[in-house]
Parts: sequence; C-alpha cells; structure tokens
Amino acid sequence: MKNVVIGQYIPGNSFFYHIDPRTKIIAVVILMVATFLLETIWQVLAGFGIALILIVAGRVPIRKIIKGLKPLYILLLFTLVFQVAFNRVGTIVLDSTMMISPYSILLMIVATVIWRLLASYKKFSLLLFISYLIGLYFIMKDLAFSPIWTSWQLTIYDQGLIMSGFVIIRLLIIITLSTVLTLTTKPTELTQGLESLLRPLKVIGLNSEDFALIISISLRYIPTILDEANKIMNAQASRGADFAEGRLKDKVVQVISLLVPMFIIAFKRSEELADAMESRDFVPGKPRTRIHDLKFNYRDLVTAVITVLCLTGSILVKVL
Amino acid sequence: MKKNHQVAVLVELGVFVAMAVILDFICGIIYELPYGGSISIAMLPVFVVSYRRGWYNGIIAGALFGLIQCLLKPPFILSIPQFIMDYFLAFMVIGLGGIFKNALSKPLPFSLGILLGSTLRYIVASIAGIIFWAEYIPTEIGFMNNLFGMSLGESAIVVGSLLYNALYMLPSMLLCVVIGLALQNRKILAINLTSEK
Repeated sequence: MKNVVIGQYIPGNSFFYHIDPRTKIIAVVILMVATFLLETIWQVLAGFGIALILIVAGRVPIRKIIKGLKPLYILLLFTLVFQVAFNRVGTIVLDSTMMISPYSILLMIVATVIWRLLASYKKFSLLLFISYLIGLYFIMKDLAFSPIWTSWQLTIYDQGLIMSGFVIIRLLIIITLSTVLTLTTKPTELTQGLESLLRPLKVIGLNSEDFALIISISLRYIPTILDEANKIMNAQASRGADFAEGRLKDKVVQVISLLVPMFIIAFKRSEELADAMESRDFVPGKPRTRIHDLKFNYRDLVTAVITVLCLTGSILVKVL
Repeated sequence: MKKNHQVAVLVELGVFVAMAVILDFICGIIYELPYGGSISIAMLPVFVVSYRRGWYNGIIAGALFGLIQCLLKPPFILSIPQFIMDYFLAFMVIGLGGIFKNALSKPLPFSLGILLGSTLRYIVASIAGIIFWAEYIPTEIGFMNNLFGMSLGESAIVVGSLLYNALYMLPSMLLCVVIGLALQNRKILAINLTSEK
C-alpha cells in the first residue's frame, strides 16, 4: 500500500518529452492504424524495427516497456499454442510422434516440480517456462519407454509459426507505442492535449473543457483520497483488523467499514472544493487561462512528417 | 448562499472517478485476472454518481473512468474496436444504471440499477473479447463443425469470452450490491443532495 506510484510518467529530457501532447496523441493513433494495415510478417518486422529505432533515439527506458508487456505473456503464449497446434496451412516444419507412458508421466511430474521450484527466479520466468515446454516435448518424444498407453501426432506447419510471429510482433509494436506515449507525457499534459483535441465535440453538445476539468480534479484527488484510505486502514489495523485474512464475510464487512468513512470524506472534499471554486467565481464553460499554454515547435513538424511517412508507407504496401 | 449546481456536479464527478480508480487499485492488490478485469467494486462510485446526478452524468463518469485508466496503466490495445469497447463503452454503459428512480433511498431500484449496468457491461466486455480473440486465434480449425453452426474455434471464442467475463463480472456485481446496500442503509449515499435543491 505504501510508496504507491500511480501513473506511468518518468521524468526525462529527450526528444519525445518536448513534443506537444496533441501531436503525440494524434501520432500514436495514426501509427497504430498504420500498424493494423500491415499484412505480412516482413512488414511488421520492418515496423518493429522503426519502433525500436524511435525508442533508442528517444532514450526511452526499454526495461519499462518490457514491464508493460508482462500481462500479455499469457495472451502471447495462447496465440502461439493455438496457431502452432491448429494452423494447417503451408509446409510441415516438424512432425513427431508424442507418446505417453507411465515413465514419461513420472518425468513430466518431475519436470513440473523443478519448474515450480525454480519459479522464484522471477527474472527468468519466461525463459524457464519455454525450457519447461521444450523439456515436456522431448520427454514425450524420446523418453517414453514401454508400456506406451497412447500416442498422438504433433505437426507444426510453417504458416502457424509465421502467423503467431506476425501477431506477436504487431502486438509488441502497439504496446510499445502506447507505453512510449504514457511514459513520456504527464497525465496532466495528456488531459490538456485531449481537451484541445476533443473541442470539436462541442457541436454535439459535449464540452471537452468539462471533461478535462473532471479528469484534472480526479487526478488531483487520487493521491489525497488514497492517503485517507491508507490512514483509515492503518487505524483499523491498529485495532486488530486485517484486510488480507479472514473469511469472505469478514472481508466484506471490513471493506464496508473502510468505505463508509471513504465515501463521507469524498462527499466532504467535493463539497469543499465546489465551494472554493464558486467563491472564486468559477463558472463552467467560461473561457479560462492557463499557466502552460500548448505550443507547436519544430519537433512537432518532425514527428508529423515521420508519422505521415509511416502511414503512407503502410498504405502503399497494402495497395501495391 | 445560492449554489451553482453545475460546479457541484462537475466536482463530484471528478472526486468519484478518483474514488473508482482508488477502489479498483485497492481491489487489484487482492486479486487481478491476467487479461484485465478484476473482481472489484470500482463500479460502485460510478453507480452512486449516476444515481445522484442522473444517468447522463453517470455515462460521463464511466467514460472518464475508462480514460483515466488508460492514462495511469498501460492500456490493453489489441485492436481498435476492442480498445474503444473495453475502455469506453464498457464503462459508459455502467452509467445507464441511473435510469431507476429513488435508487438512493430504496433497495430494489438500487439493486436493479446495478444489475442493469453490470449486465450491459458484461455484454460489451464479452463482445469485445470475441472481437479481439477472433483476430488472434485461427477460426478455421478444420475438425468438428457442429456447435451452433460455428466452427470449434469460433464457438471456443464465444464461450470462452462469455465465461471469462462472467468470472469477474458476477462476483463484482454481487459485491457492489451487497456493499452498496450496506452504504445505502447507513444513509451516506445521499449526503449533500438535499441542501442543494
């Protein structure tokens, strides 16, 4: 609960940090569209190469981007397994008989135990998992001595591998793009950029300034209310409450006793803030001034040119 | 003092979107599913706002909650329609729970509103799941072609998405109802409302 960092932004001073947030948002959206236009594995590889060049040029910490990929491991794995197991197009890369016998089941259990024991080395978890799968493959292929109970045929086609590679690399590009955006832009700047970009929505009765105001208030109050929640939880802990243990019913009761003060605090805070804003004559919809105005500079031109080049490139390879 | 109603609504939306983010965060510590979507009561503040200030403001609160999640965590973009549905539509429909009258004082409309909002969110999230899995799994898995006239791949996607989303939506909804009713019982959901009218 302590030292909670909400938000992705890390301070820095490279090229990406000085681009106007509006340019960045539009560029990321266009680049995503361009990525989804690509159709073959060579094209997405080229796109990934461009993304890597941009990351290195913008001195964005690659470790952070890899961290953002973590929740995707399972998805990537599923894709790989499905494509490899079920795609029946193209030439055969691998064709082997997998056998299951009492001996191989024993070996598989041993392999699983070893894998779980080593799982505490979190840094290599992916590598470990891959070697675990390879181990299972060889156990079933070569190490099953009689009596063989059953056997099945594992056939991998090259199109299956290519398709999963395509999907995975495309996903990597998309995640990289959105991570770079949130790593190098403060949430407040993003809000300001969105407000400016969504202004045309006024035509259909949606006021982007109101949205931006709500987001700013919300971003401002997340740490405050989180702090209050922490205090309440600590106060309850000092009286013996424990949020992590107990039966479900106890947990629900504890959450309620946390939420009652939190809601009251939230109502109180919002009333105070509304009063404060009104007493300073804040009227929604009236023009306001800012400390930092957004300005375009030469970097935005460079970004725009690169973005347009990428988009034209992917349209061209799609059409030709 | 004459109150400017609009400012109070704006501020309340902001603070309750913050509450939603925090509740999501606190519940995320306890348990989170791998593909996003966790058993959490983050929907509760959105429901409360839409009961207090009408479904229109509830929809805005939902949309902005989705937007703030994109700003704070790296968003989960697999395809563009999936992104819009998962991060905006799924949370916007929560606000529609506010169409019930007297939801702040009576338990039945309160629960019905949560049921409606959660069901709509469940539908949207499932459709989004179907759309994105359809892009990542080969649907022409040749053998077996008899389940509801869909191929095995297609039916696996549909059933999988419905099941996966039910896995967190159902407990979340029940938690929202139980905890929300407890809060309603203590009469803290209608604070500040009477003084303004």
